[in-house]
Amino acid sequence: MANVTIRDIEKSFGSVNVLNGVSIDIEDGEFIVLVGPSGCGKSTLLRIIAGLEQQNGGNISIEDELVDNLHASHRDIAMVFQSYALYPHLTVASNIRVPLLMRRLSFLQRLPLLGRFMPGHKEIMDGIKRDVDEVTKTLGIGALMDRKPGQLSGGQRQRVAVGRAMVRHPRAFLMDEPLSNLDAELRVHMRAEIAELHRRLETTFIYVTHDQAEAMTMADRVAVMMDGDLLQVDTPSNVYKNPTDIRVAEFIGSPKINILAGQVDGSGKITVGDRVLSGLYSATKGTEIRVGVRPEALTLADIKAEGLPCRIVHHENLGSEAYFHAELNIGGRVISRMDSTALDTFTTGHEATVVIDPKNALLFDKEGQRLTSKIEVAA
Amino acid sequence: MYGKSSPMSEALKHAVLIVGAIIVILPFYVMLSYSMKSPHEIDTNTGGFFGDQEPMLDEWCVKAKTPSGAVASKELIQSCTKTPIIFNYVGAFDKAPLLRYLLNGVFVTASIFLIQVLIALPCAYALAKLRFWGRDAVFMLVLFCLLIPVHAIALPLYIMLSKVGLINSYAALIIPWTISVFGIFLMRQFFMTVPDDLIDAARIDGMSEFSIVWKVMLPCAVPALMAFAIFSVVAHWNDYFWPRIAVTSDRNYFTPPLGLRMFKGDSDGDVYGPMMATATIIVTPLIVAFLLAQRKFIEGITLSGMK
Amino acid sequence: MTDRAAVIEQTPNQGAPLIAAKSRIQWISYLFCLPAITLMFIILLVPIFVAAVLSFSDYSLGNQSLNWIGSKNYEVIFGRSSYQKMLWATTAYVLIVVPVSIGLGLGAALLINSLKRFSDFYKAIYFLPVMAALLAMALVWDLALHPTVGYVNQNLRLGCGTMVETILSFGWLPFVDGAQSWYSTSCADEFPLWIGDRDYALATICFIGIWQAFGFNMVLYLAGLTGVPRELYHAAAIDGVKNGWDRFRLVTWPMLGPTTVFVVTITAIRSFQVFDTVEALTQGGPAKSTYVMMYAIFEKAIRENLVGFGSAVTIVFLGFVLIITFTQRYIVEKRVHY
Repeated sequence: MANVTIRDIEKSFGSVNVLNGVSIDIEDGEFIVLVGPSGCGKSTLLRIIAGLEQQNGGNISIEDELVDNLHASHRDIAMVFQSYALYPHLTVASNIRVPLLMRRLSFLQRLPLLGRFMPGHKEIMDGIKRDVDEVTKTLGIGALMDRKPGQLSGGQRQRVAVGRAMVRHPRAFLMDEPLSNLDAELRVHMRAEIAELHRRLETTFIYVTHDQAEAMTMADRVAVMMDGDLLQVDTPSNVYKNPTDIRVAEFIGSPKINILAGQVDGSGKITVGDRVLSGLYSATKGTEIRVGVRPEALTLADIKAEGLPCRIVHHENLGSEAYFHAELNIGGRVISRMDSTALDTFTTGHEATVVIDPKNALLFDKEGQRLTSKIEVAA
Repeated sequence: MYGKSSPMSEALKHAVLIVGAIIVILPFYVMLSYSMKSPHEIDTNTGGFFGDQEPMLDEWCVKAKTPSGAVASKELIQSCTKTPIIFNYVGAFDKAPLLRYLLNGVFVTASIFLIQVLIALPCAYALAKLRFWGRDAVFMLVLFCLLIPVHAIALPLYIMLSKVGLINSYAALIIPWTISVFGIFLMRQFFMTVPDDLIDAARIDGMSEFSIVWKVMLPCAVPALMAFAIFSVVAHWNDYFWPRIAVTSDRNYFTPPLGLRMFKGDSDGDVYGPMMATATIIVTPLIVAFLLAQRKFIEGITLSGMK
Repeated sequence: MTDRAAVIEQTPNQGAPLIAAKSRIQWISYLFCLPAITLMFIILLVPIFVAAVLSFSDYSLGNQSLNWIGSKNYEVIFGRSSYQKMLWATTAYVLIVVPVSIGLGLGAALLINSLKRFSDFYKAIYFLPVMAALLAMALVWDLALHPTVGYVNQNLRLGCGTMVETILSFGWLPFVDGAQSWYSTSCADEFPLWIGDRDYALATICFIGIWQAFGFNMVLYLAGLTGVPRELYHAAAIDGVKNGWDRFRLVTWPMLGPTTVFVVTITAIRSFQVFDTVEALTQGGPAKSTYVMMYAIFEKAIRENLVGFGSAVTIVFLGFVLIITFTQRYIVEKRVHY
């Protein structure tokens, strides 16, 4: 049960700035996902929270207490690593036991041969056994207790890693890309399992991934990071519908959002190429802007329709829907997602018109910041 | 590790390591220092590291140049006076044909390595890349022979060589080492990592299998070959046991360690200086080579170790 | 006729080139392997057989015929006290040199691995003894350990009567009588003769062996340490491992398992073969306290021409080597590789 406060974290390796003043307030019990392309600093931030790296500036608090000077094992957090980091020479049961052994047994009680004769040893070991059994039952790995990690499949190893983290009932779970070593099918399954685990444990989860689909499906809130900066922290649906930065818009959502160059004329009307986008107005008159339209907000219509003329250069049939790649006459490519019935009308090589739904157009200024747009309902 | 090394613990580590380094370096220090000192300085442990280099009288020189019974003339005594360092190093080459021993050492070590390569590489290639009936049996043979240290069977080898009259010859020094099972094993492991496609391309280009070994496989496995070379050269340049057995009487075939050993038999006390000089001369080539190419040496050792 | 059949019919020899190619590879392989196989037999296998046969005889070089004496040689080896001393000296040497040189090698590797600077410097220094001819360095140690003119004893003597003696006699520890300590009594009386001293000779030979070997083990351990996955240390930190000892026990030592097995085998086999230091410094004495097996073979079979007996020692020696190697293989199969 812990809220985690990250305040102005800075970190550089030599002359390379990896984190430029990142601040996030993570609420107790929430599942927050740090997402971004490789190298954006998310894993570094996670390790700083865990206590495995020391930041150059800023501080971390857990349950409103500063933890910067605490060793990783004192912060009462648990971590699941990308490679699982299971001890290869120990059985599954022993692996899960390690955190409890380290915490509950004193140095003397842990000595190789003499330890078991120390007073209190037996009671503690019984307690440990109970806790380990409970965890393995929850995760369904009871049958694997005596195997070594080398004899397990990827998914099984992942569960053992989670078990080792769970057994201590930590205040927060940190996960560093735990699913990236699994194949696609297993990944989808494990996503659901982890989400269920979170619901059951009600503990704070801080999850790092580069896969925006994972972020969107699992998170209560998503924190999008890029090049050491925190771009936006918001619910998945807000991040999708209302990105504050064009980079967020481009990173989230698959296929990628279409970005078109546009101008705002003196009266606030927006033109793309030489066509006016009807029904869309912007406050920043006389500027260059960028118009972002998601593939599902961009439809193809007959060449005589009102919109941007184009030629279809490629189409993909996914069964229930279809993607159309179109080359605009004014230059630039867009992708449109439509129901697969559209394949009856359009196919590669056709000339068509791209129609933009103004309600779903996102406007960004030249630097990439989101602009507010005003929509007038067509009379 | 995070938060681990305080300046205090670093200093402590260095302190321990330096004490260790002193013990490790000690004999090298003594060897080098004594090789530059006069007998008197050696006996009394004076003169610092380099010795005072005061000219001393070379007794042997005087005895050698004075006819028996006569008294040495002043000029003779003058000409036989030299600085200790000269006395030692020249003496090293004088007292025994050290130059010849060194050449023997070079010849034997080089021959051993070359022959090892000639014999091991084709076999390693066949085991790694060619499919033939009996391949597993041959590899089993190699694995079994890995268990047999050549020094352990020195005696029967000596008997066998003696029966064919080869004792006291270069052949005796070289033959037992021509088969390097370790070399076959190491090169096979390496050859297995060469892509088959490369070999097939060479075959299509018309290369014979024999050419493939030397023109395709060898260049690909240079690191392993270097490791093998280091192992072989170091082991055989420094080897004392086998030459001691193989060369019983003919000093012409002595390798450097044998030549050095002869110094110890001498009861003449003046001999420590030249002995240390000889030791320095024997030990220096490999040490210098190591210091110049440290990484290569250490990589080579670890490479062979891991395989 | 089908296309395929037509092609086959038109191919000269109807597919025979493929077979010819296979048998060509076959005999090329044999050619490539023949020198190696022949030499393996002649140089490695036949001698074992020769030694085995000779071990049951009292053969000497120059004898016209072979005289069988059954297992008499072996009885002498295991029965007579001087040869029991041989077994004891060899075993003691191995049992001292192997753990100590491995322990020092591991310790040096751990220390050097955790240094921020100068690690290459220490690596180079500690590896020097491995490169230097053992015979040469043994003779240097011999000189350095000379009872009167040797560097070591001269400097130890210098310390007598000074601060150094006070420290090294440990008189400053409670309950310890400084005057009875090794250092003080040696100052008063005389320092050990080292090589010439029955009580110290074996230890001195062991010391020289350890001095020479531990650098090699250090290098192997350094390589092994780089193979330990860093994330395991992170996981251990999170699991509550704070001090170096726990970290070593939980992560470092288990992951060094394969390296350790290799190092133990190599060091053990090399230690069994110790010869140079003994032949140059002690010749097996004093009182056979350093009478190791390789030296015994040399003395008995080569110098005294008791070839039959020497062969028996050779066979016993090979037996020991095989035991060590098979123990290593067995352990590797069972425990060490994950």
